Amino acid sequence: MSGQEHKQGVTLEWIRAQLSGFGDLEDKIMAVPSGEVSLLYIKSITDGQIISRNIVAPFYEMGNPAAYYSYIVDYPGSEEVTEGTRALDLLLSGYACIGRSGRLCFFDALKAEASGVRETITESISQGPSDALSESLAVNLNMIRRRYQSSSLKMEFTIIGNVSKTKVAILYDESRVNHNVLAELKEKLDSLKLDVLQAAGELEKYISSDKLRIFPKTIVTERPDRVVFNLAEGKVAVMLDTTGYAIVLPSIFNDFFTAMDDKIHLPFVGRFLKLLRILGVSMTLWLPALYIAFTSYNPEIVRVQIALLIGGSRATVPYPSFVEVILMMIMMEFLTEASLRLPRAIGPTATTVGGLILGQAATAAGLIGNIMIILVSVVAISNFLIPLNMMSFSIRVLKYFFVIAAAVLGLVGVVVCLVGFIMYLCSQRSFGQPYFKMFFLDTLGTTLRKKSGGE
Amino acid sequence: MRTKRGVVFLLLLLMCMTVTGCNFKDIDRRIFVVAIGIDPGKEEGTFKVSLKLAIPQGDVTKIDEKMQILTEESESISEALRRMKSKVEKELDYVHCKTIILGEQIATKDIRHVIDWAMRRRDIQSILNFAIGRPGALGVLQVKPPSERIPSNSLILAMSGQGTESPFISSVFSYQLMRSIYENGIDPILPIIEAQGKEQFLIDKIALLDKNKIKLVLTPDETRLFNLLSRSNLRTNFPAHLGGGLYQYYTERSSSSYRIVTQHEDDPYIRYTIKIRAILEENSTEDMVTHHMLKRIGEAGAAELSEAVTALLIKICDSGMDPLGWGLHYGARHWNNDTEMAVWESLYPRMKFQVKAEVDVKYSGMIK
Repeated sequence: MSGQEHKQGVTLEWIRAQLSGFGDLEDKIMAVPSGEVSLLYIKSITDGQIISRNIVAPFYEMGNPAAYYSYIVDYPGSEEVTEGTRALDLLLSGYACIGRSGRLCFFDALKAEASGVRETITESISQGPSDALSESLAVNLNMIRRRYQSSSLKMEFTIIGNVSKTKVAILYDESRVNHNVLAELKEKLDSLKLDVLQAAGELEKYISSDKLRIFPKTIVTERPDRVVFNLAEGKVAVMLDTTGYAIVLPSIFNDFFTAMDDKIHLPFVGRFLKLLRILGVSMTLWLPALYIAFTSYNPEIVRVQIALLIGGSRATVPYPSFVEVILMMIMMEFLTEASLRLPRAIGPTATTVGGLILGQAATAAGLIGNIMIILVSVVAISNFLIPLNMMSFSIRVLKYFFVIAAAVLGLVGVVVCLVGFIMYLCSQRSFGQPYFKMFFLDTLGTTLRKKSGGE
Repeated sequence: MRTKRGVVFLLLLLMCMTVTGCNFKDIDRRIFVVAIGIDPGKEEGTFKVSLKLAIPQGDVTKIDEKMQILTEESESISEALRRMKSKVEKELDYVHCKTIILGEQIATKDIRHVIDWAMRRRDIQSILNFAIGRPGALGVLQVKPPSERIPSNSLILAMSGQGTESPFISSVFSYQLMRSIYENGIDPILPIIEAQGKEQFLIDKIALLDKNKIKLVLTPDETRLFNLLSRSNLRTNFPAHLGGGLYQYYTERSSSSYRIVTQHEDDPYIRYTIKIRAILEENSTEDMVTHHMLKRIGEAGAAELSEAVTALLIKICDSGMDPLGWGLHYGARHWNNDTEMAVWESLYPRMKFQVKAEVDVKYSGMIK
């Protein structure tokens, strides 16, 4: 249907033929003594109230089809169309078609079924704004505009997806943005060939260059204040209709450890929290690996008391330490995943039962050492200190590399893995920006604009 | 294609984990040696090596110290250790060995063989404590104080100063011992651990060694004074007799420094300055302690202290040993590299001592 090109002289009959089989198609003739107009719309995506109040009622009030038709054409947002493809696109995107003597006018009657502005779920903070982005682009843009009242905030629109026709908005502060980044982003968006685009994370995947990567290069956030904060830093935000998440790019490693309430806290508290997060990441990455290294290769590093404690707690464990660790970590991943997918009412039950089983029964059965339980819970908890989900998932996967390295080479393996990890981070670029640099803006306060001003 | 390669890579990685080699030995397959004792064997020239093994406890809540002592005689220490491997089911691991105890009979003959072995073994740390066991090393290893939770922990704590801060204990790390054996101008010392029955030990003496064997054993009082000279901020108490009353002061801070004065060739002397800031701890009289009184106690204490220290220094000097490293100090401050130690050798027997103690009793303690 959409494959057929129809350039000129679209008629109602042609449209009807194209839309045959649409059960929710409304096709009506409105008539008064002085003439008649036809009205055509798809019921499921149009708003009945708009149709009756703005299309049907005026017709019968005016009683004059010619005057009515020009009223419809002049109505803000309406459009007269002669191209068949365009006509179909409009009908499918929630327009009503009003036809009079061979001319067709399309009237915007879209009913957007979007959830309203809700509270943040994945990026909750203790203080500060709690609104999350909604699933409607218009609402989101409204939220951003309200928080960023500057004439230099530009929005550009494009449509991605042959079938989904997802509206994509690119937002940036013209005076601060790095234009190279912007150009690269636009080029990538233009070259996308997709049928369906539904989530921000999906877009993130398509516009990042290398396929085998472990760290997210762009932030996927649901917080309008984070979007605004990043826009002010000279970054570009990409927003999609039908998803409550926005993409912010370019993003550096450090950005993923910034929570929005760092700014709200007192300076020392904020620093402390950030330090805590870095510590948490280190713990979750290294603890399982270090456990293997200490129990199986280098017990001299820990104190004799701890060595004996670990030795005692492992006395009944039949398998080597890495099997114990991997087994336990996988169990923990199951628990995490399950509590995410389970219906909200059963979720807590699963965690309690799972925790009990893992914590108590596994040690009582002598399958897992006591120390291991403590370790696994530390690893699990500290993993969630990372404010952004994408990074949190990356770290979750990454710790297995450390575990394998430790199982093969001991403490040396952990160190080698750490060096490799840092080297990899240093080699990464996010839209041309070094990924592992400490601050996105350099500390002297010169903005990106000043740096790239000569270009 | 891509996924196929990924799967192969993953499989290879997993297979790597099964070939971890012989270095990979889980902690529950190792048995930790926490102390080594070395005594002379029955036959001349052999060693009786004893290992104290810590056995880990499965249930932490009902922890009860469990240890095992292995003994083996051989003419070499390494041989004895290898033999002992077949007495236990787990791998002996020396990385947590914190103490090597030399039997007194070894220490009165020659300790260099043992220290040489301890320094060469790469899995025996250079920061383990050396000590002399009296009557024998095995006797000390068998001591099991009731306060102990982890085998040999009490020895480790006492020797390292992490636990008790006794002024009578001085710890000697193996690298220090090694250094003072092979360095000119300093002689090794070793603390003596006496086993008193099965549940108690006593560490309050040090032995001065003439490079390789015991030559002089200091009494507990002398040991304390030695420690006062060899380290700063020794926490102890010293007596002061004043007008028929006995006072004891607690040293809150202490420091000692010395100067080797050799302007007059025939009359060299070492001038020691000891500074102590103290708190009055005990008073046998019912007298009111005033500020003036504190000053007089300090003066009396200083006089007694300098007398005692002088006696100790003369005793050390007469023995011909140099445990405080005066010779090293002298050599380090003189440029005639070829002759300085020879000069020192000739100077040392004639050495006189001047001890200046300053005891400043600051507080009278707390009486309400």
